[in-house]
Amino acid sequence: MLPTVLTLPFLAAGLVALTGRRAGSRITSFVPVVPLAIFVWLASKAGSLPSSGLAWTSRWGMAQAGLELSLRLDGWSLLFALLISGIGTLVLLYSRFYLGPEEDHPKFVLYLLLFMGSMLGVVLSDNLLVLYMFWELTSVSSFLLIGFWHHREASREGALKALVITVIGGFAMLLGLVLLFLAGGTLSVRELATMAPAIRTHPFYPWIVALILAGAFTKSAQVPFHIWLPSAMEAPTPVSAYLHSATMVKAGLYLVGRLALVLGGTTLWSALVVTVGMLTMLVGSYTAIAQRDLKALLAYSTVSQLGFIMAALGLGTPGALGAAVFHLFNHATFKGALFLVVGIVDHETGTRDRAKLGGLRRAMPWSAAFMTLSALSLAGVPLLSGFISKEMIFSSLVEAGSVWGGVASLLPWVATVASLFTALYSFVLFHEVFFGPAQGTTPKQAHEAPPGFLFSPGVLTAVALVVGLAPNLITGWLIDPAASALAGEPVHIHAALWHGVNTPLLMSGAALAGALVLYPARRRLGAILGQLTLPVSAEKGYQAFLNGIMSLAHAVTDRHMTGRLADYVTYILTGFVVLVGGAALGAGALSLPPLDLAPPTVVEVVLLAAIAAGTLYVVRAREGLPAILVLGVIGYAVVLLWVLWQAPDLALTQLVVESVSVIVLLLAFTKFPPLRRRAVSAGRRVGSLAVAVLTGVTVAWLSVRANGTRLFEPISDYFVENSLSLGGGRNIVNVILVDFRGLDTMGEITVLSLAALGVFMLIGSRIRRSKPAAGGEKGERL
Amino acid sequence: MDSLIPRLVARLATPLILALALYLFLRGHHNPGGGFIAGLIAASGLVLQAVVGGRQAGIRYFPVPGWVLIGLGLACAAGTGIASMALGRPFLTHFFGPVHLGGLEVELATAQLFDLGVFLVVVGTTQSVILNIAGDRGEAETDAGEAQGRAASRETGAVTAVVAGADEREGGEGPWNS
Repeated sequence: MLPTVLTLPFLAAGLVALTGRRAGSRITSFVPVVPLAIFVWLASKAGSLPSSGLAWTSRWGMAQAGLELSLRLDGWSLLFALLISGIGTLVLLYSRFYLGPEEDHPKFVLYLLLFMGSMLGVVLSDNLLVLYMFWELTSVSSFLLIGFWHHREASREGALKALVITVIGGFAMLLGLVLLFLAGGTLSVRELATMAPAIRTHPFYPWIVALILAGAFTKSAQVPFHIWLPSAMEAPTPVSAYLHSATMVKAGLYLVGRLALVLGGTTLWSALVVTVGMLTMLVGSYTAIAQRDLKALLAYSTVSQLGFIMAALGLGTPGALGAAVFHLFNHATFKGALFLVVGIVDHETGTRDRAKLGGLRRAMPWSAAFMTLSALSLAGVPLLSGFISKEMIFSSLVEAGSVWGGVASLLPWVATVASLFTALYSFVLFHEVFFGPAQGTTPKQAHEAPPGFLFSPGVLTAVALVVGLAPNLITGWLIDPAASALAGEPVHIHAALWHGVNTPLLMSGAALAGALVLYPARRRLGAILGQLTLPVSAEKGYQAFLNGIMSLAHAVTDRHMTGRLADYVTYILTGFVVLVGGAALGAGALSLPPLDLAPPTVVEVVLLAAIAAGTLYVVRAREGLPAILVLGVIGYAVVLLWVLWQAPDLALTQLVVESVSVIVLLLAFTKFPPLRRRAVSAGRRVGSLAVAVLTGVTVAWLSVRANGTRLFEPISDYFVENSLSLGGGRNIVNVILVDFRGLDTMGEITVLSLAALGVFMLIGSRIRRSKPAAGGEKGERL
Repeated sequence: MDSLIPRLVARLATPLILALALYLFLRGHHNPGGGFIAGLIAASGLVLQAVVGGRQAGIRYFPVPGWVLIGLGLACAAGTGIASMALGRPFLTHFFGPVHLGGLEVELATAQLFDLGVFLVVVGTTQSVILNIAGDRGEAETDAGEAQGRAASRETGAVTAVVAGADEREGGEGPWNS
């Protein structure tokens, strides 16, 4: 069943691709059935999942290279898979209302399904290389979705930024995975966990941690890689809710959690993950306050919350892991709801600008209710889900602070300050938009969205509310198994509304009180904090990096891509002489082996002389046409040589190839501008001559050496003996081609097909395009 | 080149060329021949039509586009390989043996199916490459180009390298650095 779950979204995507044009915007109403079915199946498995999870391994794969298509559904995967399919269903339902009838629904749904399948692949793969493959696929589908409105420049830039940063991180992660394979001998997470002690003491360990975390941090938008997430807000809002808050950006958290049993538990791991996480939480929270665009505010809020969860995962104690898992679930629900409500506000008023919105509660009461409850959950107000899980992480931070001491004792303070900012922008979200005074007129007359539009944020808000009131409804079957999978031992979290007056409660109280006190001064605060972000601009670094790459590529290309055929031939031949000739010299191949050659016959000498004379003529030729014809003559002379040496298949093939290539050359010749002679410097001529002579000498020398060297029995005898008995044919050449060396031939005809495709693209499209614009075929880009 | 004699020759020769290709293909397993050679010969027969009557005539003579042949060929070659996998043997394992058709006994091999794939790919590739290159340019344009070239080569008589002039446009704007 697991492979079905994984392939279902891809199959649905294929179906959408085939039928989309006819179905049009109606398709969005049907497609939610797919994630819903996955969700229902997963939910039915939830209670009865064995502690080692459900496993499935395919027969396909390359076990010796560590690549095996094996899937596993344990508690941690299940939590993610439920979020992916559940929120996926809601987001698809919501998109039906969000996207206007004029939008390209099939394309949108197709990309979303591709993402869904890839993300399920990430969380279901047991093999890390397979996980990596799906990981990069999520980056690609995220790229497509951010750039969905590709006519906007900001969308294209945001899509590119997200892709560049996450793919560079992904590549670092791939290197880390290779090192992990070298250290552990396998890429199965389950098997790796059993040799965790050996891996943690392996000399590669620091590199493995740094490289894999680079992948996780870029994906989960941790400082300083967080800058792609705000730019990704150019995507349609359902995408922001789904990929860039609820699921994909949590892939980094997933990986850190997944590998905690393999790589975690060391000072390096904890210090790195906790430091980066807390820093991200702080930077994200204060940057959010300065944002005017509600989606940008939510993006920084997501960055901040991801950092918070990351830090909790880094602490590594069973309690902290349980808290992290719980907060991850809560964040996915309430942040998803917030994004969806902001999307509704944007849709119904035409703006997401804080300065233009206000007092909408009368026009949009349901949206106001959903936004208020979800934002209060984010702020960590009691009776809502965010409060409980935040308290739990706080208590783990306090514990870590007292156990580790030193700088770590600052952790609760940082968390409190960041929570203060979090509460502050949470208040902004609902108070400014729905309660404050109306700010003049919005681009559209505000009115409440239809019930279907409100359904999805409503469901997510309801989850946040219910979980806040009765956390035990989900902890037993969802949160505990996930935390147990991370900790490698049974974990039972104690989620309760009231733990008595303790340090975490005081921290929450201080944060909420501070936020209330500072709320009236939020604009001044935002202005000050907005300036604070400027000197630490990761954005500038990214731009400099991008420009650097481009100018480097230009410099390198301009230097060696001269556009002159002669130069390219020189490069190739020089490479040949240096590599092959150099290797031959290095191997001491200068001595002449004893030669056992037949004396040349008169016919052979005549033919060779003809070939040499023809070659000389072609080189000296002043016109192309005769040169091509003489080239053909040379070819036929070679054919005669094959005939003399009794190789009928070779002769026949060469004969036909020569004929056809003369025709091709003649046809192509009419396309070329005329041959021209061009003055070249003496130095260049000497250089070309040297390369030519050296190439000739190398080839001649190699032929002689190869003839006089027998390292082992040639395989041709085997072919001669077995052609009829094993291949059923008397023509050895043909049996070799189609049977003994069939795979080679398969590769060759594939290359041949690609060559035909290349010619079609280069010339065929050129002809078709230049037809309407007469003679305008210069400098076309491909 | 729209004159009677070449057209007549082409009309007579092409069927013969195609028959030769078929012959070479069928005998390939035991005697010189095979899919590659047969494919090239068949393609040259089709190309003959294009050379004599122009690109459109070539397409009219054999209206199946090259990419269809290439696709069929690749499917055929890969298909024989996958078929042996389905039978539990390694990819591209071939089978052969006598087949009884009524009173006749014919020696057949799955390798010939693979060879058919090679044949189709070669025909398709050659046909599509040549027809693409042949294009639909008028003869006049070509002649003008050649005359120009001759003039140009007379002007700069100095000893030099031969260059296909596409790269000679101002600013070295070749096809590769655009």
